[in-house]
Amino acid sequence: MRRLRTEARTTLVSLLALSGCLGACLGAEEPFYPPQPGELTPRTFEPAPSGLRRLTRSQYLASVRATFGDAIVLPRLANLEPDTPVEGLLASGTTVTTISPRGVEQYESAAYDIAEQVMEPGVREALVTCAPVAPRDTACASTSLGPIGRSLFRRDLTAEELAEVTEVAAHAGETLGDFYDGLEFGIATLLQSPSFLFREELGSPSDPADPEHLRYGGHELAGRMAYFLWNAPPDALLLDAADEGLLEDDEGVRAEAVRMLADPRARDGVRVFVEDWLALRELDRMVKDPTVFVHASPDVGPAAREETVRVFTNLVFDEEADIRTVMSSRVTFLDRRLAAIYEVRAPREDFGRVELPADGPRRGLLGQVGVLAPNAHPTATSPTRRGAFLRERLLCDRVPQPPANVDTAIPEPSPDARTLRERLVAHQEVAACASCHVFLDNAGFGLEGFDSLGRTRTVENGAPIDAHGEIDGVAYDDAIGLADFVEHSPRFPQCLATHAYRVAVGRHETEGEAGELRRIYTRFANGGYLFRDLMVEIVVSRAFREASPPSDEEVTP
Amino acid sequence: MTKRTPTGVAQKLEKLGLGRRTLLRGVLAGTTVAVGLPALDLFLNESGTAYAGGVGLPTRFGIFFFGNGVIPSVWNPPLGRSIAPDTYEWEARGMLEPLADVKSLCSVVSGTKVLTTNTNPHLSGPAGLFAGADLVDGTFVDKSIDQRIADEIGDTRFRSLQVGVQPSDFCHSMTGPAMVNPPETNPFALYERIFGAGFRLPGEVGMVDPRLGLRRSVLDAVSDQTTRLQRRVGAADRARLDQHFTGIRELELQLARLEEDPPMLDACARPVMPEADYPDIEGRPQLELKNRAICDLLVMAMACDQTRVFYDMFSQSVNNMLFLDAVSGHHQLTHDEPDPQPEHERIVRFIVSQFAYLVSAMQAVREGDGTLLDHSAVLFTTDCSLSRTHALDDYPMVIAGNASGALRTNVHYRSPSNENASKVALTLMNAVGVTAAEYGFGEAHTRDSLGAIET
Repeated sequence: MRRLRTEARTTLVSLLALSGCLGACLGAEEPFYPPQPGELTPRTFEPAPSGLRRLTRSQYLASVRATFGDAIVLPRLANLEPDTPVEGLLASGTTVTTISPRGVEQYESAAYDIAEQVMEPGVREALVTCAPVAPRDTACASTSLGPIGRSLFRRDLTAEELAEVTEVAAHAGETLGDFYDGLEFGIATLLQSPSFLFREELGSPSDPADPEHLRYGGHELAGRMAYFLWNAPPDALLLDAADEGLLEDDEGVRAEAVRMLADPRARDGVRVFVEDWLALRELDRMVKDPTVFVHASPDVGPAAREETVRVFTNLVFDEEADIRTVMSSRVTFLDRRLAAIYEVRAPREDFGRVELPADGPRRGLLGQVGVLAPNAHPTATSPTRRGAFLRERLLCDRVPQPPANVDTAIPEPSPDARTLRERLVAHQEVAACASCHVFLDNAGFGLEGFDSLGRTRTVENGAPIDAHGEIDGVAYDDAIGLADFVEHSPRFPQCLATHAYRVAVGRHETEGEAGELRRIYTRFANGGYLFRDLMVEIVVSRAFREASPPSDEEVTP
Repeated sequence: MTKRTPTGVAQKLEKLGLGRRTLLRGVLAGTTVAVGLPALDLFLNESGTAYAGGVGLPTRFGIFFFGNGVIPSVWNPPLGRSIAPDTYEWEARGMLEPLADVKSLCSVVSGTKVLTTNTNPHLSGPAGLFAGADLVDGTFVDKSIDQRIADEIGDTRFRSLQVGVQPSDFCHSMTGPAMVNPPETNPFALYERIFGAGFRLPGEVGMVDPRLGLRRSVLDAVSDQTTRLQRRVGAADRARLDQHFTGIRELELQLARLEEDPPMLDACARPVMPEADYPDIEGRPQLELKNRAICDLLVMAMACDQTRVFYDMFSQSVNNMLFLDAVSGHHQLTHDEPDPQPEHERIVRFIVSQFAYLVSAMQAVREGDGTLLDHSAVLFTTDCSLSRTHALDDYPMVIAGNASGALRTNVHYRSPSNENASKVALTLMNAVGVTAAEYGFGEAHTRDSLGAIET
């Protein structure tokens, strides 16, 4: 698979090797979105290869719940194979990573835990509609396991698969002398199957004469749509639509996508997108020094994650607003801890709606603890980290690894340089460092009015905070000016669209998809930047629904 | 078909008479049948301390890793009396001072260089040392050294164990590119995994649970499904499923081991159950208590021969944990603290003391005529040499244990010429019983081991 990012990085790496940091920070990642649509000659659409996607932890839980109901006690997240970020996104990890031996143990243990619960009297009646006549009753086992398998595999079991799992259950029933005890082993088989733990999105040729051009079949496409829009498996309506051939054309896919985005489950899909896009997972293990920050506690990180997600979903589903306003919105959702950090009155209920003061320094994404705190040190801020976050996640600029073999020391505070900003000047004056540090730090200086945790501050070490700066030739005064630049940069919604696409397909875009991405973006922009439009356009696009066969060449180190 | 059963797990099952569905045939309807299986103590002599026929106790391999590098001028002990070319006596000083009590059980290797292109400040070093090559697409090109070793000597209930003290999902132990073996960083979960349900002490008579056999039949069906799915996917997905398949077969083997009588090993005892949780106190992790708990479990897992290979990720690369009473995170200190970086030094000394605990704990386990440590080689290292510049020359390495007599301890080998650090990796592989003629790729490739620390 050709990945633009990889190619770009290779060039960059050779560059770095030659010249240290010099010239490495060049700006926008790839010109997918020319300023004038249609300026570049559109390339022929070349779909990317199909493949397996591993269920994330939350998708695993949602799938179990969809199959067995809300009553069962789910395994703890920590007891499931972790999601691994690849190229900065957990979604990209799903197309690359596999299941470790420990993960196999964990899924086994979870499988028996679940199977035992659903075979309890009072629960099992929903799954077993036949009356078993003996501990070994293959007919009743098969009747029960077929629908469970269909739900877990997101397709019908093949005759071979059904016979196999039925035999496991029947044999176990015979061994243990109880039909239901035996069925537990059948269910546990399905729950450990690669056809459950991996989404089989393989595609098949729609035209036998053109085997290199694949389309995702009805159930495959239903799965792709549902896990992107809901972070959950397809429901019966979607599978029915697929069976009726309604997902064959744009209009059918669009109609289903619109229906799904009106469903409350769509909030889960958007939540997962926001968490992945902004790397909010970092908040769970954030380190802040509580002797310095009286407001710091292990609960602050998860609360901040909730705030950022709620602000976004509120704009998407409740306000139905231009999503770019996430940079300037004064409406937020706080618990008592965050309200104390923001120095505003706490809402009556946790995560109630709060409107930040119009004359305050805090608004939008860049004023949230969820962005400010994880991109800083345990006690000190970091204009470099915050700048890198803004560049990579909001503008899709390319930020290379910091160079090796370069002395990264910054001077201690001195009477001449009391603030971190003043000390960081050293990095801007050495040519080898300046290229990247001007690029990153000047984007991060705007947030110096917020300390490492995200409280506002006006002085550091007794010296006044200076939060003015210049980004890509545009001067700004403070965090609000910086956020204003991002909000009105065309690269921001483009970057948002790019990230949404990456999360949807679980990988970086390819060159052959550039035209499709441009089309998605144009419609998103023309519709007034409504995030739900973006999600619809992604799933309707050919890039989402078509594929090429994966390479069959073995990879050798 | 052989290709579909990597690491020979299937052959091992076969050898134990535990081929597909064998056990099940012994389990009859409704009755609990204890199925006798070949026990490992058949291979031990009467005292249970050594394998019969003069073969020694198994040799183990481990890595104890910490993130963020060191200050080589403070890490490297001053050169003592020369005892061979470039080989010196050493004293535990500077950052290695906490090794004083176990110094004679350890050797120091300094002055070698990890010969990978330094593109990723905290990962190029581990990539070079543990996988022998540059990073490709941000990950190792091949399985890591501990997994190569586990392929050969991991014929135990757990082929290998990955643990850590700092909570994280990342580990350098990889079964292939991007195929991470996540570390278990919760002592209680680790206890449950090794010593929980199903574990029996040597000599403990237990009724074999018929469910164990049934669970294996389930895994059998799951591996069949995996093999069938492999036929429908491209090469990259086939490789992913191959790893999954291996995990399934390993679990089958684990269950089979639980059905056997446990190996007769004198030092094997059920460890004390650790705390359910080790919460941070005032924002600071309880690293010392947690490290003890993890090390104690690891040591007993080896004493009971539940595993012979481990990767202990004490702290992660780029971690910004608040160690001791430091006022800044560790990674930030390594870069921002002015010379001579006393806080960074203090933190590394603390980490060395945590490694010293593991060494002492392994030394305290009597095995035959020696100790568990005598039958081990444990590499203690980090992700770069000088933290501030992420340098890869003068790479910090300490090796504890003599690998059943294969390694020389109590010496300091200092390479005068930036020798290839892969030599150390090749030495370690050979020392623990893996016959390898070469290690690494490209610049990092070597056919030479490091004779100075070999016996």
